[in-house]
Amino acid sequence: MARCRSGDDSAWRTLIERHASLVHGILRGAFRLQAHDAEDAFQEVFTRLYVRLGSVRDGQAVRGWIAQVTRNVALDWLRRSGREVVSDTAVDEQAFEEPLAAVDEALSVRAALDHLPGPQQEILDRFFARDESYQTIGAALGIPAGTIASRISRALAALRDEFEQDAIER
Amino acid sequence: MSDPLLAETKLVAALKLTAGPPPAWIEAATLIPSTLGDLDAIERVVDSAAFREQFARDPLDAVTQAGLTPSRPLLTALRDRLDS
Repeated sequence: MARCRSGDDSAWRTLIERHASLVHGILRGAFRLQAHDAEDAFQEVFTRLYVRLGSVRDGQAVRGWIAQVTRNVALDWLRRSGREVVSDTAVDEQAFEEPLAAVDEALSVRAALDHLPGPQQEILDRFFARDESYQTIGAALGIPAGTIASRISRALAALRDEFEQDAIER
Repeated sequence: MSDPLLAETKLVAALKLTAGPPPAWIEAATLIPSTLGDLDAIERVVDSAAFREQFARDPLDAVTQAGLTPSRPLLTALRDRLDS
């Protein structure tokens, strides 16, 4: 955070990359913003974060702070667009508690993925997150397309074991 | 997660939910500091009562009159600072 505040471009990029999935997951997954709205809201979140860098203490729970700013931006966005409005001025904030919890749990799964061997991470990310075909994955990773399904199955089982182990340790 | 099929369905949903934004979004966000410019300049103008009044009436004119270059991130930043 201190490096971001001092104008270190690489530190700022690292902060964005580290928390992009969190921000994106909240905007798209929890608040269901359309892609074009989410793109603008994503930039708004990081603009607000950048301007407020000076108010964050090193060691503070940065992830929680970013999640809160994202939530506020999303709620503002919904208020401005007139969606999910239960009165003229209010948005039903409680309605988003469960989806926000789902994003939080999903990020725990993503963290468990980070503990798998690189090839297993890559095959799961390419197939499930990037929706790549067996052919595309096979060509990119240099493995026969006919073995992709079994590799995905093994990687998914490994992810389940890792996630359950992480849950026990949490 | 005792049911393996249910567990894997949840894992797949989680992976999709946390796929992350398109790379272009991240690239655009990396440009925010250079687009905003000097944060001290933002702090100076928001301290000015005249600027705040003008910004409430006409944000673009207020920004231009203050010698800043209007941009979407700058307007976002100013609104954020003035609301806080």
